[in-house]
Amino acid sequence: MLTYIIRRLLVLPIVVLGCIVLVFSVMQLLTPYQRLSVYCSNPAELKNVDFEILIERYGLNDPIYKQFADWFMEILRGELGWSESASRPVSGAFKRFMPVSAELALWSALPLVLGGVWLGSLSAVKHNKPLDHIMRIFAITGWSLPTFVAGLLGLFLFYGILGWFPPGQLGLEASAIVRSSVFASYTGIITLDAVLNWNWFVFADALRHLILPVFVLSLVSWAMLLRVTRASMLETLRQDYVTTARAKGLEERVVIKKHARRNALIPVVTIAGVTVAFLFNGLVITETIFDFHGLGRWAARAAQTFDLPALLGYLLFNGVLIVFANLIVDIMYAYIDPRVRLG
Amino acid sequence: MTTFIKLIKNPLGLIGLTLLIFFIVVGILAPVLAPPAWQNEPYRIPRDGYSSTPKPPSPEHPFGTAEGQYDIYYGLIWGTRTAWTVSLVVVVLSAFIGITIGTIAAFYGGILDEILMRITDIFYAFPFLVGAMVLTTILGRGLGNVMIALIALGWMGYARLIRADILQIREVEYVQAARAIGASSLRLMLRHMLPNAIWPVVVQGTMSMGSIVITAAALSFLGVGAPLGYADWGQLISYARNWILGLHGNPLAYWYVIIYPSIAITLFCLSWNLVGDALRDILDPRLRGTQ
Amino acid sequence: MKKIWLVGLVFVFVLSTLALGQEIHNPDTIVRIEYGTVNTLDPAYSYDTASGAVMFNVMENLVMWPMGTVDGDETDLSYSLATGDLLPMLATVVPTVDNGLIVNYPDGSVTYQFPIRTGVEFHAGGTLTPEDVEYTFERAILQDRDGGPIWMYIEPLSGQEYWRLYQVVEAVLGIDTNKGETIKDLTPEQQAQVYAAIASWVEITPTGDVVFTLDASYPPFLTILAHAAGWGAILDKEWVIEQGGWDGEADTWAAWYNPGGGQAAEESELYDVMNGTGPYMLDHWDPGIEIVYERFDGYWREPAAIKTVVDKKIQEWSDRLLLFGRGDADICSVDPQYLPQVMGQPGIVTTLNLPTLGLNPAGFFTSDINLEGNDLVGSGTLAEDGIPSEFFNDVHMRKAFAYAFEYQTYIDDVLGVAGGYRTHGPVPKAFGWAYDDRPELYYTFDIEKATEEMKLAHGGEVWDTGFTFTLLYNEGNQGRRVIAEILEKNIESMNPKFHIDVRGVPWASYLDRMVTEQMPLFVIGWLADFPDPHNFVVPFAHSTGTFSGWQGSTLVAMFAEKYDPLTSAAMATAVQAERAAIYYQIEQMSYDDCYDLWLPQVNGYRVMRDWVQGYAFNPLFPDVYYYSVYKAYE
Repeated sequence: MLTYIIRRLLVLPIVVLGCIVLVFSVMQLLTPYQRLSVYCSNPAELKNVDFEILIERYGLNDPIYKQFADWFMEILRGELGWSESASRPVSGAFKRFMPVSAELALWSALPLVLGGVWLGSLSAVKHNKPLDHIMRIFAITGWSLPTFVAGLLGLFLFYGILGWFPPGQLGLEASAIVRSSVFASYTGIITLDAVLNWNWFVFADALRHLILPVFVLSLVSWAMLLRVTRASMLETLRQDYVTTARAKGLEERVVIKKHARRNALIPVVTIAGVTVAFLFNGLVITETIFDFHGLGRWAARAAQTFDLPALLGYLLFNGVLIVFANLIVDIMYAYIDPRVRLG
Repeated sequence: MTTFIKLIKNPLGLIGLTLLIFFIVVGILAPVLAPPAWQNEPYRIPRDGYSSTPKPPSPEHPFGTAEGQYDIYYGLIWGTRTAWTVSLVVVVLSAFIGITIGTIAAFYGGILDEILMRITDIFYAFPFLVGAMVLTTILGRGLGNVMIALIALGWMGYARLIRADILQIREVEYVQAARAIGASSLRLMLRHMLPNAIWPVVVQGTMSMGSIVITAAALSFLGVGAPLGYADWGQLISYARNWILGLHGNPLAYWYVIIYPSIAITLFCLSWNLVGDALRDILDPRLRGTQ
Repeated sequence: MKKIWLVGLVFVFVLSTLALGQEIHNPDTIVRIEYGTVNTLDPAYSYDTASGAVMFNVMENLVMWPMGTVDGDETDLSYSLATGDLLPMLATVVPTVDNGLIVNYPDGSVTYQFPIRTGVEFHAGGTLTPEDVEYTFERAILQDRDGGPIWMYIEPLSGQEYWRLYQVVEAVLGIDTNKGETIKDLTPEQQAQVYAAIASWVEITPTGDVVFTLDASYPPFLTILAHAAGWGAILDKEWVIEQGGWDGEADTWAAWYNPGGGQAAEESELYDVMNGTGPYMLDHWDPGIEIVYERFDGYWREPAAIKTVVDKKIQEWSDRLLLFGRGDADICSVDPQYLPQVMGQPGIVTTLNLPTLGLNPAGFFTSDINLEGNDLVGSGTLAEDGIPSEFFNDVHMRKAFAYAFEYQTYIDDVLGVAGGYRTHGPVPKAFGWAYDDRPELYYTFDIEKATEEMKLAHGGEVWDTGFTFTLLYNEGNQGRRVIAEILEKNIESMNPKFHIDVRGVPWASYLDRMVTEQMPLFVIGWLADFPDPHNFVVPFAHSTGTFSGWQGSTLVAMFAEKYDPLTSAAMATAVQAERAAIYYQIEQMSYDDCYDLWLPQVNGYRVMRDWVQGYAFNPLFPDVYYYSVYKAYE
């Protein structure tokens, strides 16, 4: 097991590198002017701009391996470059945006997993009964409803009419407090910092702004988790050892808890890895709709405006994250199902 | 054939199948149900003027018009064809690529498996939505490019799935028995392992049919999907983005812009899900024994 | 512990649900929501509207414009854009010929003399002195970043001989600087030489006034300095030096020249810090997210009424609408097509039909289209499946397109509730004195005339052969797409052999095609830098114009031959009637040459909560002037 992990970790840099090379090559499909465009979005500023000189300066006409080598050297020096779409250095963009996404993802994770897995098991146990059908229909509808529709409708109802959950991360007052010197930002994750600062007003305000986006973010993945859990629970419930356990006279509840659920988790774990990716994609739209300045939204803007430094930086980060997540999934998978050899 | 009969007997499966047949019929009859305004551009939704404000359903526009005066009815009808095209092409091609790679990796194992799985990891590490956005921004908007992006970033799931299944099956007795008899490896793979390993992939494929349509809609929302004015459900929904809140005092003023395309997408996904679930119930070999 | 914050949560909910009444939200704060990125806080660097809006509130200029008011209760349009109506700001008197502060010399040069106000404090503690003013302008000129606004100073101050610093350097030193690339390597002696050449442009008189010397008359000079122009904002010399800026010495300035090559605003030492004399201080800037101002109580006039201003950048229209509707935002940016969603909402006032100052958008024909690697032109020959490079070289072809555009449909459908007006360029309608309003100068939508012109185009060949080309539009803008589709529909209706494809591309690709002159027709717009026809005539009708420069060699040659001399002539005299006559001539020629498609312009409008009062109005202003705003019901 240990050798397996080490081997996978050693391969990690290669994987991330491969990802980066992929993006770099794709970017070469752009003309130098297109890659320059991220710097010139204001028509007035086009006067007196010598594009030839700019292309020279940024090395946009250099051979691809030179551009790549230059960029790589900078990365090793810790210089990730400047992100035009974020109006700040790439490293600064991570500092600013990551805590926001992390906060959303973390608050979503628990309801997501608990809800999805619990509802899925429930649905499986009540297989083909009305509850099962209802939950499946609900899951599919929630899943196929485009995220932004759910988000905007939610905003309309819970803010437009009721005034409960406004868009954005914080209200005016809480914002001023967080900015001021009275409030120490330890992590950038506002709810966490509020607790650390023992400031319950800010905590409540942040939570109030989180409820709707977290719900919307979970909505999509909920359905997926529910389906997969249900499907694999159904399978497991029919296994021989479950029948045996039932025949032995064990209580149904115990049968489910001890036997069925553990084995049903196999494909769920597989899906969990995919869910992480899903969550990140969901962040893109959720952050856009609710005006959260997080990584997803930044990445989307970077993609739309060809902000190469930002994209490469995001890819680096994302690559490392996903590879680790997949590694963990594979390990857990092997752990749960001893039949799978880690050959 | 027996599978089909069993599918019909399954009540939810029947509903799903009926819906699918409905969508197939609509897709085929599109030119009849909604005659194109431009003969060589049937997917271009006719515009009745250029005004931004959506107009409610009327005799000329049974489902109303979206922002920019695009006829919603026309968009939904031809959008059915688009939905079929995109989902079928993407699912079939990405499944094909995924299955090929996954089977080879699982069967031969060793260093080939390692390389192929790492390549899969590389593609996995690519943030899907952002990656699709980059590709479509570079290649340009257009359905073909959207499909390329979705295939390029979607085959990995199939590869992993089939690899995991084959790894399990390798240990099952009848395969070992076949080996003992001395069956050749390719034969082994094709005749014994693949047919049994493939069912989870098929079920996954049916799930994807719906999710591809949803993802394409998300790409349209982000501004990198089908071109503007193209008959595509996702496009139609994204037109609703700035009108969901309606007018003051009349929040449902533009209900039709959201409701109709949403129903189309939801029903399409629902039907594939129901069929997929029913198929899974029928085709799972471990279940077969107990029925 | 849990119960406490749970109770608190519930309390907050209930409270907010109850707060549905019309009481004024956040009485001490103004919340403005919009979209638009501030690029830099360096006045000499900033050339975009959003950055200019920050300078507008935090810093001040020598002179300022009279302003009107637009709010819930009144629409007072007593603003002015005439030089003669300028008011003193950091100068105590506005120079005029009458008060002797503008002097015209026999050799053609002109001086403008500004007595500087005393007792004015900067936010960071300094006091305004004439040295600050001199330093501000010298620093700007010696920085002259690529793509920046400083050409607006160099052009008048050099007597319209140059418009970039590197040209001055090359003339003074007799060397080639590769468009300024080698200025960084100048020796101190060389730097001193250059400095000596420009030092005379801005100097301090023995009496402590600041005097500008122009080598030739430049009628709109005062308007370039006026408040609303970010690049005219006055800096505190000592403070800038503290931030790491140029020390003001003659032989050291090259190190601060063109920071970041003009496209890396963060290289300037004043990128993210600001210190001005204005009524508001910069409290906090979160780039791309929000900017917060705090009232400056040491302001030289009466301090502002509102204590805090929060300017939030929110891209999502629905979010803005919701915040605005609930009163959590006071002033909101609304795109014209979404006006119906705010109008009629209780608590919100919309004022329509306000004057604007700009030509945005306008359509540009490209002569001698670049065929290399160009997929927009089909076969690239005069045949049904393409267009030749000289497609729009023929004036009849251009006129045909001008007659084929449905101007009124565009106004009705695209501009909608906001409404719009017809205009012909290159002088905007707002300059009444220079705008020739005769109906003969407008192209009307007339398919018959379009057909006539089309039949004359290219010796009549086009009508028989037909053509195909692709019209690109910049994505993200529905209006731009409609322009393309209107042309497509009407051109194709003339002759079944005419084919136009419409395709949307992102800005990056659009810019690429514009610069490489691949698009047969491109659409882009210009907003005023300063209120004078000259600021429009150059970008649209000059051989070196920002946009006209991309219209292909034939049109550029035409501009050079026919329009450049007129443009210069219009600047050579200060007599308004004479200038007007020349601009009239230019407009007549513009009609005859039809080098651009003059599209209808949207009317101005303002949207705000009904408790917002004192909203200052002048079409030149980059954004809200918070000094005059207060919140009350009247």
